Amino acid sequence: MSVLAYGVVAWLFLVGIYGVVTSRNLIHMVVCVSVAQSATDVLLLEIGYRTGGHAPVFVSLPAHPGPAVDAVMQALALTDVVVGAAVTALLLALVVQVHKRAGTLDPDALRATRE
Amino acid sequence: MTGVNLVASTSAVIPASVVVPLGAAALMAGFSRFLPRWARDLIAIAAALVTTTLTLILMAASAGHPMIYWFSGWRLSRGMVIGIDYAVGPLGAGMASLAGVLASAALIYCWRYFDSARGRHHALVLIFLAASVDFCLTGDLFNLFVAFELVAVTAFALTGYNAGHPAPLQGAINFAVTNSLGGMCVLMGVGFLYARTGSLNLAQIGQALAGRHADGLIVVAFALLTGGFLVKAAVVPFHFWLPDAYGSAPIPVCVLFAGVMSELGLFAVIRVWDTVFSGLAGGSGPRMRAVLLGLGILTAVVGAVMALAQIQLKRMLAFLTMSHLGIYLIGAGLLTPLGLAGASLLVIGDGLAKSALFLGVGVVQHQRASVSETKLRGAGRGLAVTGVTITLGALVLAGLPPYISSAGHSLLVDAADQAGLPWLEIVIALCVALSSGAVLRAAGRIWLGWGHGESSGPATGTADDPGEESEDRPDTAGADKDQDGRERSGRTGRVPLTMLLPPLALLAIGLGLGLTSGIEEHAAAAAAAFSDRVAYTAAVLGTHGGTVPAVGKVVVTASPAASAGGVLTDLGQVLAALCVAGVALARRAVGLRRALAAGTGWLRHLHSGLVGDQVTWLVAGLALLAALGEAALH
Repeated sequence: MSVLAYGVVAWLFLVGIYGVVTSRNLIHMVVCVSVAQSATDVLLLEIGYRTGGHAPVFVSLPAHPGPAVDAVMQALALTDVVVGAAVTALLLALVVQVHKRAGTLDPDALRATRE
Repeated sequence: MTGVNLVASTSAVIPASVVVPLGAAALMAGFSRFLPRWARDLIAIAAALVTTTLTLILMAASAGHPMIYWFSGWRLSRGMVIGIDYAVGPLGAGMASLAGVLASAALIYCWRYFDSARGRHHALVLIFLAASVDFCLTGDLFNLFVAFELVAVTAFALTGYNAGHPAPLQGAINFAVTNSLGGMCVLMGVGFLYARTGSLNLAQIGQALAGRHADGLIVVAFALLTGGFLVKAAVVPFHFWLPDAYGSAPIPVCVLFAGVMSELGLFAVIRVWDTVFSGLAGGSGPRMRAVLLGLGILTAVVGAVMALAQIQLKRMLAFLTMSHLGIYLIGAGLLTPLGLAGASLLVIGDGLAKSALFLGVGVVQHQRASVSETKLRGAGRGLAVTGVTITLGALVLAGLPPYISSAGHSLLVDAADQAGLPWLEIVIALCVALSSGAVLRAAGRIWLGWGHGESSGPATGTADDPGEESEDRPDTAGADKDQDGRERSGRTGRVPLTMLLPPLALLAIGLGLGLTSGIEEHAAAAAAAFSDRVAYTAAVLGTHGGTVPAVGKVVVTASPAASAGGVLTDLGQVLAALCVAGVALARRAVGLRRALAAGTGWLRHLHSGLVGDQVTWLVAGLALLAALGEAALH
């Protein structure tokens, strides 16, 4: 379980970065940034995970609830989701403006329009 | 007793220094349409000035011992940190007040700079300020990450604020993509450290790691955290986004970027090193010093060479900023209190002077509708005050005494001597002379009409020729065209006082600080408190128990002979900068300039402005940092 989760983290991050590096379309690039971002969320959840732990909700529990997963890491992941949403929204807004002004979404072509 | 009362009465100031700008920003964003233009400007400027005052109070009150503030009163429970704290020291509070001063200057300048500044611009500037203050004061690693991202997101939006032309937009996209990846690295580093130590509090993590040997996980966490912060600090090879962003952002925003934002990245690197990693067993200090010094020297040299190769004034100042960041990293990377003190004085002095330069360039753009040095040749008539401002700014950046940067330089030189690395002085002097010389060259060309103009044909194949970059850089005419809508440009009326005075006021503040006696001692004491991990941990975790070592008094060598030597060195740097400008403008030195341009062509070619290339460099830099971290920590 744990090895699989860390493998997923590494895969998502690398594949996201590979996408950003090779992207020929700005929307594709923004999505790749989100993919890399999701790697950090998986990592945080995995760090806070405990096998057999229940959700960190501490109301109306049974007498012996057993261990809970780490609520701190879940809070971090939630904050990261918010940050990611803000960055993605802002990037997409910029991309819309680029398309309006330059008529292209290719970073290479965009570079050529800057003269 | 008065000390205790002072602490009690200032503890409310700590949260207020973040609440005031955030509250004003919310007001701006929500109600700006109901407010007249003057009210919006006044509220924003007042909020920035109040924040500056509050952080200055904190700087004075926290001298001697850090002030700890636990939010909502969640103090320690059985030695475990369960809340989030602010650990206020004079160095952090000083950095925050610099942010306040520059934000105030930028907002005053905006008064007449933008035709139609809506509330959103002011709100973004105030959020940027609040996040910077939060960044400087916090004692919690995750809070540091949140402030990092908040600074970054507002900065992306401010860079793209002139959304009318592809160039600023592409600058904003490059900036956003690279810095978001940097933020992810920071967050992963935070996660790994939490996995190892079970805490997010800097002091508690440091305590948990103290005396232990670094394992692979700690090395990876170190590389991710430091790499992420170095992206923001624009250190080679993480720096490629910086000229694109600074070269295309509106002028008032450049002031905030160049004076505060990148310095925050370095601040975080040193803060995390001092509080978290410096306690690791195995004597990793000297090797870490070599790593940081290497990165700093590389950044300083690359920035200075590239600054000299620019003819677009904003890009020139962007590379000058980068060169200075390298010099600060050299100072802080010595990992001695004296080096850190020198770097902090330089951050203050250079930050004020660089902001004055950007604001001066803004006046030129506003009046002459161009920021190209060669197009503007001889166009400075009628802008004498701005010419004096820019020349003065370049001279004090080169270390003209008694400006405060000169005090910082002499502290830095002392620190390098004490560390047994006196040759660093030469590196610093060379980089400062090159970057300041570039600005002086531009001033000579614009205000005195020296050198050649744009139409001199093949003679432009000189050190300042953008070469291939002329194809892929934002053409100034185009860049100005887009800014017609939002930024006034090309007017030939009187320059408004709100645009002439802020840069002069910033230079005056720096001069006043330079004339303040004993400022070196204050800086050294602040830096000593900042670098003392044991005292910091004891203050946060409350583990005094009589074992608190008194903050070591740093003796600043202020002998007359040493200071006379320092003044001579500074004057030598100023002369060297003037010589660089002279050579760059002289008609006879064409051959030399051609040779230099040919020699640096590959370097300019690397700055392609493609985000894919920039991210590739980022990943390579992270791998390098991990290897170096393994060597330094293990």
